Amino acid sequence: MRVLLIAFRLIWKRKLTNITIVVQIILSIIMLAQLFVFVSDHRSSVRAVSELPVSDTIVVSVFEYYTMEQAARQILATPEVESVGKIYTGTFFYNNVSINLAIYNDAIIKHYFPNLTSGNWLSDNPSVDNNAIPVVVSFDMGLRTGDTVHMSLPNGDAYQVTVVGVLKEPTQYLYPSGSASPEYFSARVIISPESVVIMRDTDLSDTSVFEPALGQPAARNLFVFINGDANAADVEAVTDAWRKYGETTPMTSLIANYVKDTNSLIGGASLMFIVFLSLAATSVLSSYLTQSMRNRRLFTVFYLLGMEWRKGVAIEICRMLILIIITMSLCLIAGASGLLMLQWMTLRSAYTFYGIVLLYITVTFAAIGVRFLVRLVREDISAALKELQQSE
Amino acid sequence: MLIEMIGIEKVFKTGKVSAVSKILKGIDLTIEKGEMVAVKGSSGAGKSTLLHILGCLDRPTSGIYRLNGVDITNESSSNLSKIRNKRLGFVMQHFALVEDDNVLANVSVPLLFAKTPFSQVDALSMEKLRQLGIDHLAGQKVSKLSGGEKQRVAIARALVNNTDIILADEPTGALDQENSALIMDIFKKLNLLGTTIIIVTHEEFVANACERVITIADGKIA
Repeated sequence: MRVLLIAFRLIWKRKLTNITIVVQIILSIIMLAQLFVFVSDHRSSVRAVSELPVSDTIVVSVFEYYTMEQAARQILATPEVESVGKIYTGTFFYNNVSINLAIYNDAIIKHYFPNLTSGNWLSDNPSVDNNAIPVVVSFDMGLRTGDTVHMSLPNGDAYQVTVVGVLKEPTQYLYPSGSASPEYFSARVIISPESVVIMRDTDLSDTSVFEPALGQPAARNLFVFINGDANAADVEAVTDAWRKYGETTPMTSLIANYVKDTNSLIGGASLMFIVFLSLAATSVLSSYLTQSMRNRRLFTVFYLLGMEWRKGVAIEICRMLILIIITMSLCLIAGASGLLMLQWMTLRSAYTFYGIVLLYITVTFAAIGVRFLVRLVREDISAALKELQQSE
Repeated sequence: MLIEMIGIEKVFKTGKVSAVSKILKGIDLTIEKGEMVAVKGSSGAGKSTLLHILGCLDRPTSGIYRLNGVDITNESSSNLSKIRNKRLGFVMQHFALVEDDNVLANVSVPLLFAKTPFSQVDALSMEKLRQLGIDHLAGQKVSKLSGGEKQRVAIARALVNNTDIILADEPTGALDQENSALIMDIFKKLNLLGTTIIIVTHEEFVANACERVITIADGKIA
């Protein structure tokens, strides 16, 4: 108890210095949160992108003067083509909240398998009752496999849907919102993390309402699946022929470039963070080191007055633990108030982040504290007494 | 006999190889209760080392040290800490106070280590300050005090656990003549009340104020 009291007194004595140290650490943790979210986000995107159909897949980003239907019909006529995947995007309203609507055709459903946390993918042709439309929804909608609810389109058309599968968190699914051409390609263009309802195109009476109007800038991406036994030279030839309908790029090439660019971005951001962190850490450590040197003199005085040297170790350990607890508590408060971008993390990521933060805080305070403790335990007290007598 | 030392030697290791330096080379010393003793000697003679051993701040390499008839040569660090806290008081040349604490907080530190109930700490500290006529300084930060005032605070701290032995290392070394005389006056009064006082000093007038002078030369009592 007295050890705790003395430790608190020591912290209170140097409250300005300790507040400065804690604030510096919290600021660097806020930076760490931003980097963590950035890296998690991009890694999540890379993971989602790797779920996409890659082999024998060509992406055609259709020009504005063709409809997707027109381009798909022409491409499908090519013998090397097994099928052409189309995705229409729109909006559904559920409980007065607008949600992404992704309408996949059969080709997409057969070649694309997102991770599910429960239920089945649409390719399993799950049966539902009451003429409801089978749909797969994102986890954050709070629906479970088997739930039947009503949703409506912006034009008022209402539909009864039954949930046959729920996407795994973090939500990532194929949802083209821009051109999948090499210059503009990023995961954000064809992957979305927003709430979604996914259904088969044939379950809707009319999908033409979702077709972007000619001349209007919109996502018009076709995923062309090539026959497995097609000759590479022939594929190259037909790919060239398709360039009149839009920009054509093999999926492997798009994804490889994206992953490479993302990894460079992550590397660059991490490097910047390390530089800032080093500056913050240097400042923190030098303040803490000065404090520890002052505490060494103080402990020598305490030793003179009857403190066991071992008790000095206990006091210093208590001081470190109290500072770690205070800093970690402030961190939790910062997290609760939105400063640590926790809303962008899944629960698991948030726990991982806090684990990293606790380790960082502990290492920062322990680094100098341990050195001080080792000196306390190992050094000849005569040296410290001589320093005391000479230091004034 | 309050303090008895027989054949005390102290060896320090110097440098990285097994080089050693023998500072104390067989000290035989007795001090009776209520004595006021000066320890003189040239620089490097071993005065401070002797004081550290007397004050249980360090252990002798060999020899016997008895305090009140009890051999404490090989006592545990825990017991030596208790002896330092309850029986010994230190007054150092440069005061050894916590500069950014106030006077009362400085004086109360030995009471905290003695596990005095918290409710009694302030009262006991104030009583000692009153005895030395500096209770009006209780709330003042030590850094704002004069040298003489600081040394009186150090003496109050040394006495707060009703210690019966004061060990002083050049207590007037950082003071002017007037304050030096004041401090020596306090020591004489304490000695008259029965406190045993051992003072390491260079100064003649301090040595002359003591009833016995021990001179150390080359690690031995001359």
